Amino acid sequence: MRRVLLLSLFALGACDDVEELAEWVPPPSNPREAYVRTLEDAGLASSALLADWVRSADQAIARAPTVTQSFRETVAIDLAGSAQAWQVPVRRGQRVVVRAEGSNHVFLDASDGSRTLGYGEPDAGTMEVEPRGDGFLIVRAQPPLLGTGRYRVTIQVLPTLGFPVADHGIADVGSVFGDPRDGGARDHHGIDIFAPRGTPVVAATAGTVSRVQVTARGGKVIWLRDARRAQNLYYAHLDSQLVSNGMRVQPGDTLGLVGNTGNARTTPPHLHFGIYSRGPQDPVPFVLPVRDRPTPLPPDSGLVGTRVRVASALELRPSPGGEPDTPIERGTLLRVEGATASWLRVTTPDGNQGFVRASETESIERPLERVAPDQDLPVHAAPSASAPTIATLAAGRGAPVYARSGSFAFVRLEDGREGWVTTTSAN
Amino acid sequence: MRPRRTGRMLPDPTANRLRWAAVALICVVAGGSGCDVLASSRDPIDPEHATYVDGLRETGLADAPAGRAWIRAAETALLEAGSGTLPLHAEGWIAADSAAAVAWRFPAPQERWLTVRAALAGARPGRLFVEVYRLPSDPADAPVPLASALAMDTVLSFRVRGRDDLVLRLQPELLRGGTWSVDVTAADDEPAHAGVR
Repeated sequence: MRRVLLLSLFALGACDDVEELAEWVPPPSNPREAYVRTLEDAGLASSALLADWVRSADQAIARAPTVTQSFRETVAIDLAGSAQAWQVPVRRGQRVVVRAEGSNHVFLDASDGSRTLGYGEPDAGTMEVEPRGDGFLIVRAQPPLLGTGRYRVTIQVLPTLGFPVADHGIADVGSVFGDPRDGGARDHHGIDIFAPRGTPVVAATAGTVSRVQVTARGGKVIWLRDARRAQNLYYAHLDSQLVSNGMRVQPGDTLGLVGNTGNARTTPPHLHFGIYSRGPQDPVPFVLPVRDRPTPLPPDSGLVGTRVRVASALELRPSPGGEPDTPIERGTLLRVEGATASWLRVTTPDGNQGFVRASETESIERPLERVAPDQDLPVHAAPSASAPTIATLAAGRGAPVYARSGSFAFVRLEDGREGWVTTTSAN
Repeated sequence: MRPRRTGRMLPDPTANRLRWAAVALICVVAGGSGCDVLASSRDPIDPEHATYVDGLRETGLADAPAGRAWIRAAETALLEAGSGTLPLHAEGWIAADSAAAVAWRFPAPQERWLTVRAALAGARPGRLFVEVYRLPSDPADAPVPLASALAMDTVLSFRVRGRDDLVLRLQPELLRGGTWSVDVTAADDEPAHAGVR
């Protein structure tokens, strides 16, 4: 429309500069935008295809389930290229690694709900994002249009930094961020990692040694500048310093050795490790491996992209294991959009999406019953009397019922067509 | 394929698009007097369907099984159009996830006004390609598009010239379906709302 208006203005001679102004539009800034631009430029700007694709992307964010920090889901690909999204709890200092593997490439992006924080390269099928604050990261995956099959999304939250003491881990942390110091006069602005004297202290990330000094409180200290994240790492109470100012180091390079210099003379040897970026930060999320166990893969991901029905009345949940919030009747037809561990992501005939236990559903291969109307019955496209009629179930001709929705039965006719008949007067 | 561009340029206004825009402009200018430009078999128009198919091909969507099936359904409907007589009324159902098109072949109502009213009603709003073709007397020649629209609800009206049979084809755009209905009539006088709406 914008182009048409500009062309019209130009044609009318209203402004000679209009065409010049319209000549240049910034190139797409990410793969999603490039894809949309390709469709628009090909004359599909007002097509249902593109409208559905864009709408689905927005809807996915609005209903994104909260998941763990180590999550996997097998997701169905449909013709509309429907998007799915997940809300992942994150803390500053953590990074989120997302991988999508499957029969088609998938667009990946991440946002905080309003601002996009990262994109994946579709061909690579991976994305890595480092949020700058605590909260939720919304990861979204969307296949291109007219695809079929399924893909598997793996979301993993990892620390951004390596552990700063060689061969030690979070179990060796003896004092945490915020502990009182000097009788409560100040807070502890780091973590203390206890290790034998002389244990190597290593670079937690690539960076530049910005200061090597001796202070009354920290004793022998080293400051490492992490320019990529605009933060400074502080290593204190060292027994010895093995680097010099300005030296470039890589993750794992030895900076010094654990000791108890400075005001730690009366304590066992340990490293005081601090992170400063517009003030002190809690180092734990920066170095702590995520404790969530990886989501098991579903026992039968073959259900993804198929239809099942509710085996006994249940409630739809907004996320795997979340609080039930929408009741569903026995026999309801469900389209399986995804599967994770023992949960299925399903869509009901009225368009609700949520999670149910796989064990609460059953195959629709076997009919529930048979309907045999004594008068011609209209077969509707959806379980509603106002839905279009797509066929007629003739009086005396029975049809197997595979699912139910209120007073409607989902039937398959002899010619293979499927639809809904009202059963109040069917039998 | 169009050449790749680093930035987005205004689309090249192709001859076909300009011609179609000119037709639309003439219809608007002509106002209540109607528009019979589309009736000229010497000046075939470029139907929206062909533009849409070009778009599918340009983006690779025509190579996907669903895209291929949709294009094939359109071609088959045109080639295997069922016989129809005027006035013609029909309605039916096309599922959104199916590749289907319907078409009728009928004798040309020479020098009369042909009016096609077609609509698509579905669970989700969708547009219907409505096209009228002239079938050349030589079966080896391709059908010639005479009038075309893409809308949920369309009225096409034009004076028919020539004696070749006509074909009317309906096809919902990809991923859309629903109940379609069509009425085709011929009249000696120009209808009140002639033209392309």
